[in-house]
Amino acid sequence: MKLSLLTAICLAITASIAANCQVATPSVGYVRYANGDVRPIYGLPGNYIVGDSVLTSAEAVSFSGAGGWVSKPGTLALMDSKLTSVVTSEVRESAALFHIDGSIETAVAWLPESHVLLHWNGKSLSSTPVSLIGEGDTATSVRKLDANTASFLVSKPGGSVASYRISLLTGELKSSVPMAAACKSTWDDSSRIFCFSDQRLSVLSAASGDILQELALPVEGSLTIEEASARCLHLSAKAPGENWLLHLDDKDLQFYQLPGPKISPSPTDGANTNSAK
Amino acid sequence: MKALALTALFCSCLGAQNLAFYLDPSGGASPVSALTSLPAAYGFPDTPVGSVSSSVIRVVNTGPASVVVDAVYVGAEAGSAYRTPNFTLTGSTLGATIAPGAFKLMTFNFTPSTTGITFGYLQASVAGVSIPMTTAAGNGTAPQITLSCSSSGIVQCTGATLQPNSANSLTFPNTLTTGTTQVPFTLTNSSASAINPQTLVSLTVPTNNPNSPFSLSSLPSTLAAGSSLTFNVTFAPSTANTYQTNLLVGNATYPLMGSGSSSVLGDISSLVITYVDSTGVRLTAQAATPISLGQSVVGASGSNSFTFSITNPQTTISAVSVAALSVSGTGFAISQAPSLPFSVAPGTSTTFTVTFNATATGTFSGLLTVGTRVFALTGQGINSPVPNPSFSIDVQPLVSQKQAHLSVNFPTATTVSAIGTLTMKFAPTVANVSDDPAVVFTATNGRQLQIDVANGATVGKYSGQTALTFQTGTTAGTLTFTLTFPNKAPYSQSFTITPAQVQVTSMNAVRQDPNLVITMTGYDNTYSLGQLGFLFYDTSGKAMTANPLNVDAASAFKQLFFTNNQAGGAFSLRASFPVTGKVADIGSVAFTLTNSAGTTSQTPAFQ
Repeated sequence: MKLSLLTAICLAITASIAANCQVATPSVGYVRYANGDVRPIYGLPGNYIVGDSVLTSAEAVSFSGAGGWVSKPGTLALMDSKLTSVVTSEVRESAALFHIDGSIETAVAWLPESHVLLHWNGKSLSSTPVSLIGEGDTATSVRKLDANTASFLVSKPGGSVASYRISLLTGELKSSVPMAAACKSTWDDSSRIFCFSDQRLSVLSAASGDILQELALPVEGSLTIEEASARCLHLSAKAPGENWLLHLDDKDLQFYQLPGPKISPSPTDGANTNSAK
Repeated sequence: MKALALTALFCSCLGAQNLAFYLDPSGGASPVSALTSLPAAYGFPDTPVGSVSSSVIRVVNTGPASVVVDAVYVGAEAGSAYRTPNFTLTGSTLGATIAPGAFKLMTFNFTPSTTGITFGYLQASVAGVSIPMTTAAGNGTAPQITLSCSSSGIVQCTGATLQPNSANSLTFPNTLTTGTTQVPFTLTNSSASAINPQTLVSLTVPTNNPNSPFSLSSLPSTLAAGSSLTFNVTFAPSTANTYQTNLLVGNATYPLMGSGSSSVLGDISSLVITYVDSTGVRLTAQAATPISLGQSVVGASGSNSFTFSITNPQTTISAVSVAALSVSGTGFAISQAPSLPFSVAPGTSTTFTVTFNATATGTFSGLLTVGTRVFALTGQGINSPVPNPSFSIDVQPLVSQKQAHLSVNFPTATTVSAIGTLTMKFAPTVANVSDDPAVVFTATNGRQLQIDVANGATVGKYSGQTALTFQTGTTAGTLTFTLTFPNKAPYSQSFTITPAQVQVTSMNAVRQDPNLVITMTGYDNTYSLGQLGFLFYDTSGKAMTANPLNVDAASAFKQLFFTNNQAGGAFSLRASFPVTGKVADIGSVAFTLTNSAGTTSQTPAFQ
């Protein structure tokens, strides 16, 4: 059995490795800068190259690497990995929440003023009214768990946080779990909850609520948190030029400063012109 | 006709009556109400022979019409126009028209030529009528510090003590622009204590023109009591003009005058050499006064540069040929000069540039030669008020794929506020690689920052930040930071990023039946990655082959690194292995990545 398997592997690898070994420029994701431009980011953690603008006038974005949400004035678009619009919806809300874990089937959006959850059902955007998030409650993150379930992290008026599971079919509450944390913003990556307070980030275990790591935020004050990719968060301060990336797969999480778009190109800032000989 | 003459006389007398005289120690600053009227009898303080005591007189027109004061003078006797040498007047003493309510200032000097009491009769002449102003008395005491000169070319230079503050200048003989006239002066210290001639004797220099055809020879710092010394005043006019200056000995003033002459036919003496200084003012070069090219910060880029013109006046008959044009002296240079010999036609000019670039601190001297005429050059080498900076980086040694922080430090507090430019250059050591686009300051996504240094600060800042974040990229090479301030030598410091083994920043091994898929990101700062090795293990940890499966991916990496490179040595790799058996039986893979710096290995388990 082992021999058979080994032979199979060897033969398969020998025959196909050249065709199946692909190298490329590493992509970090897409970020939205303060001026509304959306730009691709290449490179590695702490070593970023900011690409040319691919979208403009964006008010909020969320990208996974396989797709993404882009909110522009009056519209919300779900896009594929090539940033081609899959579906567009007329939405007039300024504080919508987005999440996308991978393919566009994982895309979900919460429209707090309309109390509506939007998600891609494979053919169209499906709208689910949700009435249980009461006045004074603030949904700080939303995530699609499966085709029928979404989760919310909801900040309560007293500062506590609760995790809700909602039926995407009916909008009804499936479960509610209180959490021992006070967060202004949150991010949920299935195993961890990223809890942003005024000056620090607490990484909590989604299962136990235990604090796994704490980090000082790079700047005090209000931060906007958006998904650059499924494994990278983009934090931006209101002051132009202050952007950071948090790579969720880092063993030791840290904030890396993200360069802004070039301010003043100089002769030495040109593209690489390496050549092979 | 007779009536007209009477009217004129009457008016003149009225004008004279409308003049008032005051002692004005304020030099014209105080209102009349604050002044004391000039008394009919005025006494000067005791004054040593050869010295001077002075009082400023304000002549005010208190009438409704202008008054023309023909002259103010000091007579040896009352009503006499015979002038005494013991008293002088300087200032507006002749032909002064004073409007109603206006005034003129003049300085009344007591300059005793002998000891004892002497009198002087200060008078004003208005329309031929002498008006007494005051009778002055002064007591000449034993001489203290006196000046004399000996020259057959100057009337007053008889060897006798010179009377200071005289209305009559010591007039030097006419001097050719290619020549000089030198007059020896003797300074005598008859006081009881030593004096410092260097601080006592000087020539007045107009603030708007430092160049004078008059110059002083060097003076000692001490002249003992009862001693004398001789120094020279040299007159070396560079143009055919009349020049005036004052030789100052303490508070005694000796007016000097001289005229230059030149050939009207056309020779080297006809030429006028001018230059435009750093403020844009055109000045005439004088052989007697060094031309200062200003201060040059040692090591600073650029140099002080003056544009000179050689002009042949329109009045010259012939063109002038110049056989020599050169500059000598350390730090001085000439450029944009015409080829030798050259000719300057009447009414035309030719130009050249003289630069000064200090190589060290201190005073530098040079010479500018134009034909047979020589002009002294001088310049100062100074250090910048901004101390020499240094850089520190929080990542040492510097490696690839880092966000490091650069600090700009000064060993001492700066004494000025300054704005500098910090630049970063990256020189890859990888052959055929010219740059790495990730090497930037994150604040600007560029390689240049403006650094502010506050007065008294010991650190430089960009936008209030002292730690300047930059990315090191993913290419081996040398990072050079250069900080440049105006008028200061640039400071540079280089940091080397050495070639390193391939670094894997993330990896993932998954079973995607019927495939095994390994993905990773990382960088190869040598751009030489090519050999990959994969050794699979079963779930019990036993190697499934005796040797790793080697894959030559050099071509793929070469394509990535050297064709339209977007991210330096950074790469993502996806290797897919089709499996015909049960992929679940394969537990992990040990892969190796080999570049010119060595081999990196990782052993991820399949998920």
